[in-house]
Amino acid sequence: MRRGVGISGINQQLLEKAKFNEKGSELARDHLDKLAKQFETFRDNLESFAEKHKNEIKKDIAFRRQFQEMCATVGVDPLASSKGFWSQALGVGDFYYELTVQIVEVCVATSSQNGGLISLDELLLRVRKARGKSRSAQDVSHDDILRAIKKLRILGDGFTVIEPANNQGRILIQSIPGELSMDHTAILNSLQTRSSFTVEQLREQFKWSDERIKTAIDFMIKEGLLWIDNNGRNIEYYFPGLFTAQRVTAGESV
Amino acid sequence: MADRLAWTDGQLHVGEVMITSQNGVSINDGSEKTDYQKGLITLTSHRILWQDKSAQIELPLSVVIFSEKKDASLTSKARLICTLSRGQEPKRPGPFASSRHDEIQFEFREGGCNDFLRLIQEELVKKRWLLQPVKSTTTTTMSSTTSDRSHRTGISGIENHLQHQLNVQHQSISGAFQDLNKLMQQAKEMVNISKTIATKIQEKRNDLTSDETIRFRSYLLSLGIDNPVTKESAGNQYHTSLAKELSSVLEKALKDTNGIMTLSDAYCRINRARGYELISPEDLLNAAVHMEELNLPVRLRVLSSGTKSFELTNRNEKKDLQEIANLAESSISMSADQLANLIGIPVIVARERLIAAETYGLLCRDDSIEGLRFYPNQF
Repeated sequence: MRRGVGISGINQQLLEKAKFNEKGSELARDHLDKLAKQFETFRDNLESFAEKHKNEIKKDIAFRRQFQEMCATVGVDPLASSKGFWSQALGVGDFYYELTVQIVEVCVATSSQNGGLISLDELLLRVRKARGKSRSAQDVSHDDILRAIKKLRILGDGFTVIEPANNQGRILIQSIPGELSMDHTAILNSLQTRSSFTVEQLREQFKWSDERIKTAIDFMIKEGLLWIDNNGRNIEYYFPGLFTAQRVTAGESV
Repeated sequence: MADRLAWTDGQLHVGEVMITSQNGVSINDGSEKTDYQKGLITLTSHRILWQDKSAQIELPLSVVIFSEKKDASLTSKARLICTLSRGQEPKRPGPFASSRHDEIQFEFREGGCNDFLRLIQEELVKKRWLLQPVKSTTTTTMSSTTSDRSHRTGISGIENHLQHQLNVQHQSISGAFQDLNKLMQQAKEMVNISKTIATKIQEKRNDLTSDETIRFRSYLLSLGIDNPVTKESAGNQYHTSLAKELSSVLEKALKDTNGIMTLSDAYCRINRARGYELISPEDLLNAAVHMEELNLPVRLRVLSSGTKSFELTNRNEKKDLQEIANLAESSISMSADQLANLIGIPVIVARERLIAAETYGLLCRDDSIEGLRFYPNQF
């Protein structure tokens, strides 16, 4: 039985290879010529598109997002290089690269306080503030920030996005490298409407051993993410990054 | 008007785009509470979707005439109020058979009302569901809403204004989306051709000359197509000239930061200095990898932790670490924060420097809950 499968398996592979060769018998050069022609037409079309709609991309959050999603589906990255078509013709590059710089600046400014952990909402609020009061400066969305951060990761300086469990809840951005384990992120994600916890709460919620809880807490304190509030009654631990996140959600300004 | 809500499977229709979502939102029929509390509300270009563990409900945007916010009070958090039209089409199965009210209120228990309001108002102006009618029974609601408008005297003034705005914007928005679609089709074709060429190159069935290969790479770069072929961007003119440009800018900056700088820091400085025609993070990295081979005064260095940084090529590692050990000695012990503050370098870099000094045998570590500190090595 096995031998049969083996031989027919090889036959199958040969058949597929033959088909593939047949399809791909055209020269690579022919394909390149075709690409070159399409490229020129595309360039012209992109330029007329830019003339008509360049402003829309800059100002319209939904349109920009639609644009980004279509690019992703098609398989192009409009932000890959400032020398890329998209960037040159539509100016998407400048929009996102400037946003990237603003994000880094906000994170650097707040990291001494929150240890490099900030909620996406707070980051968005502060970036909008940094951009100024004009309407167009305010047209930055969560999606834009996440895309800019995705680009920032290439620089390898520790930018990570911490997603909430089941995609429901706060998104956190970590801007200082420090590997948060699954335990650490579990604690963070469990605090959707609070910014602090006690050891008893962790024990009850996760059923972890005291040893495990202590290890997690100690690490985060060392990293500067967690502060201790020893108010006499019981010890509370809180995340400055989440503390400000709460205020932002409640609509307070930062 | 809660009878306008209908059951749904939550799947996005063809052409429908998700805009935003928010947790902790409850549905009220008029101002009355319903059983649908604290769920996830999602705004798309065509509908409002709501879901929790037990139910998934939708409300087509085409029946929303108007939306506004009611501020938080003692008894409730901020609410989004949607005034709905009375439809004449057959009612679709939903959670409520009938309703006494003209509006639905969404209570945002966990915030997010302001943003949601802004986005829904944008969608109500754009009316994208008219561009791409969704394949469901909502097509019938569109004609009935227009005839309904005359019944609503109080609201009609606002509607007329919205309608006017729509007529102005409709042209440009629908045009923009159509043009975008066409553009993307073309892009897609080119991506496919590129894949074919790339496969041939990879399989060594490549009959392209080196000039042709360079041309191919430049197409990929322009279009932003990610491809293993572009990864070896050896001799790419843009990146080599960028490398030279960056090197001279960074050389000056590095003198102020003690000879070493993280990539994000460099990226910010460079783009701030440029002001326009900013470079992408990839551009920076691609330029950086060429610096050493071009014998430039600045080079890329990968630290032991994997973090990358820029440094002056003529930095003397040993001398540098000895200085750090001396600083540690004069303050008895040193933490990364302290060092960072003292000589004005980022904390990550300071940490790495201390660890490097330790590797050289110049410092010893003391790891406690109060943090990592380094002492001069007495051994």
